Amino acid sequence: MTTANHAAAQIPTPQPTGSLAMIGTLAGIAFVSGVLLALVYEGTYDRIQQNQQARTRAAVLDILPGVVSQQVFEASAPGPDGQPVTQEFFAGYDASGALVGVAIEASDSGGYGGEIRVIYGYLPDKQEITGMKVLLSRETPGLGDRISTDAAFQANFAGMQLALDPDSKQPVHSLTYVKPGEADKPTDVEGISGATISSQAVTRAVRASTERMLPVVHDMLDELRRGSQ
Amino acid sequence: MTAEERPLKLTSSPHIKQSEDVRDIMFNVTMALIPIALFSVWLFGLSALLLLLTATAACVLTEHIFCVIAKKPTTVKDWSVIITGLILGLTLPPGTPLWMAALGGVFGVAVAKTLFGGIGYNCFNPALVGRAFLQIAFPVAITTWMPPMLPGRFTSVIPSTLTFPFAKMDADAVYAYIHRAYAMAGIDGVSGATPLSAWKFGEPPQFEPSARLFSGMISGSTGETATWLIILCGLYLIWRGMMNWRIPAGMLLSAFLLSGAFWLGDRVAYPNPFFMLFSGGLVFGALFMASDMVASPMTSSGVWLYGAFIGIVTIIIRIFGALPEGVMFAILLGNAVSPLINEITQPRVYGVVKKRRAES
Amino acid sequence: MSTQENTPRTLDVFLRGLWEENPVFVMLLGMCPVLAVTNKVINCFAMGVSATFVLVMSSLIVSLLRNYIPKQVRIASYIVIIATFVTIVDYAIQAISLDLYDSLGAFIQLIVVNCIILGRAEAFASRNTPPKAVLDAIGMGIGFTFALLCLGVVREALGNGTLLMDTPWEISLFGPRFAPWSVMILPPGGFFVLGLQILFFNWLRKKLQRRKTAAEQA
Repeated sequence: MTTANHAAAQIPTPQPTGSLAMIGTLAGIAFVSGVLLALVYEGTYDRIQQNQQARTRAAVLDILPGVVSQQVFEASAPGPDGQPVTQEFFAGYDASGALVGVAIEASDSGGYGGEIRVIYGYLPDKQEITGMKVLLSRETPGLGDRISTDAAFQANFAGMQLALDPDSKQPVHSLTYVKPGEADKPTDVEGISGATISSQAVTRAVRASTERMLPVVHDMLDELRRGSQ
Repeated sequence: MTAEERPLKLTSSPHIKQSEDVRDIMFNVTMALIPIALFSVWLFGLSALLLLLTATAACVLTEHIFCVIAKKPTTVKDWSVIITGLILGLTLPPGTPLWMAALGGVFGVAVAKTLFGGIGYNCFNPALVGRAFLQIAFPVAITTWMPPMLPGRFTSVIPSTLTFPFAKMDADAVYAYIHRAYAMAGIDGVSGATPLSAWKFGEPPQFEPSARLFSGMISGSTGETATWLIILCGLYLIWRGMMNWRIPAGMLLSAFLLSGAFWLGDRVAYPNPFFMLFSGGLVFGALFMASDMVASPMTSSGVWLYGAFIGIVTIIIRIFGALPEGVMFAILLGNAVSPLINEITQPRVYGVVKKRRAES
Repeated sequence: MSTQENTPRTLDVFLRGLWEENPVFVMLLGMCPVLAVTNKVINCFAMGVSATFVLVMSSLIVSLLRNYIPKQVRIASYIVIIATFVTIVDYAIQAISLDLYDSLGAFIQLIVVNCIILGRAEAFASRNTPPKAVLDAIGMGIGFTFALLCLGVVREALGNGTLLMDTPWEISLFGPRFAPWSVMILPPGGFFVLGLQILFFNWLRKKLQRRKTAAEQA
């Protein structure tokens, strides 16, 4: 790096500059920068919104077969500390506008690399989970990230019967994590050998979310059915 | 420069007339590892033998080739690289594909030893660097375990051993092989999970009895299971004065005390301290890997600190970490902090008054 | 930096960044994105292009304003200028592809504090004419992109067995049976590959230099 002398010789304002000039320069640059950013923000806003919507739509369509349109609903259910927490979920409708199912996001922070966020589809009429898709995970490539690539693990959730108790609306059997090859109930989730922590975290996420959200979703069914009109 | 090239040897005091040199010590360490290697071949069969031979050959070849490239006399003959190869083989699961073992050896010796300047300059234990590389690169292969004393282990190899170089290992084929071997012998199968993972991931957690752990009749890394034999071989080296006994002592003691404290706090969730001591690679790591002369501190209080540090980190990784076994990473961390330990445990030079901070 | 003593020739200004003063392999600047985003070739490419854009634009503006910015507030001014262009890039990438945006993570925003850009603004752009400053920035930007790609190609090839994964042009290099070395996609692989490549480029540079001096003496 250059010495201080050298630097001073190169910059053509050797006299001390007044504070006003400094403030003026900074303010000028900041103003131009602000205007520029506002323009760029306006210019890209629509595209970014479209991208985000396209992404959730793709996830919902993926998880709920036969859905052509979707709508966002809000439900309030007791969180882990008993306080009600409001969560958004998606209701999917087929071409005739009839309710197909709901897609709900679930997350668990006990993954190998921190939070794992998944979305799962649920068909209230059949009381069945359609499948699970990992939205966000920082699991180890080749090991923990098999929760999103391992076909056998994904198959656990596809078409899983999750009957609700008619009175309490709670699942009769909650999701249970079991070792590979040991499932004997539809609600048993067979883990991935070598990725125990990640597959346990996914199971926990879906179990907690089904116990929390499904009773509320069932209470809202009429509203959901009306939703598409 | 070798001694033969200099007619007159000038050294400063102390003058010790003893013929013991690096080669001597390394030879004895190798001899101490041989019984462990033989026992592991008896436990896990032909695959273990191939694994040990491949790992050692890969390490030796790598070191030789690097010496040739650097136009230095080859350092293969000082036995140290053979120890690296043996330890690498002994710390891998018996069914590790041979090409992975070779890759681990090449990586460990090339990156952690020769690039740092060869023996005496490596700041990490090369075998462990190779092992850590494999653990992170091929997590499935490095966590697929075999039960010991499998019927037919001397007449057939584990299918994963002969995986085509750079191809994926088929873990399902290994489980099928174990199943078939038990079925043919008409014995009830034993699960291949190691005691540590059976404790950590088992639902409910399973605790292998300490006596079984001590005997070595458990699944685990090729040479890490037979605690009694490892202790015997270690004692031989300590008796010959070729190992600093304070390192294993500090490591085992701190691991015992810390896991004992957890156990006293909650006897259901945490295994007893003997389980912690005899499972996994703790004893092997303490006696043969942490005590690596180059990568451990030199001061006498420093080695206690170093041993205790590794023991504590091991237990912390085992209890709170995502991996069931933490010895390898704990020792590598210990290697990394040993220059710092040297720094803070420098003994006072005789006759020099310690400077006060104000004066300096 | 010796190059500031006498004004460098125009072509040299451009070529320097590629090889002799390569920001990554020689000056060891900008290590944070180099280690963090180089696990996929497409990330390296996006990071390289973004950083080059920011570098060129901010060098141009800094050079244009070099006679008007009081030296006491110059660093603050440079940072505002750089941050503006980084934010523009940030929005642009979000508009192009959210998946790319997610895999680059915080590292797009962190271009603001990338020492290559502030370093070039302070050491070169603020004392040279705009054409030269832009040329220097392009050279440095390409040098940076080149270094990122050097790492990215090796890490993705070994760590995933592919090139250009997550793009329509994905190529599988070793067939489906290849066992990926996941360590290469993880942070330790970044350190290993960077270390070995610095070793290689130092060796290559020394060798070329020796040949050059030998040729001059002859």
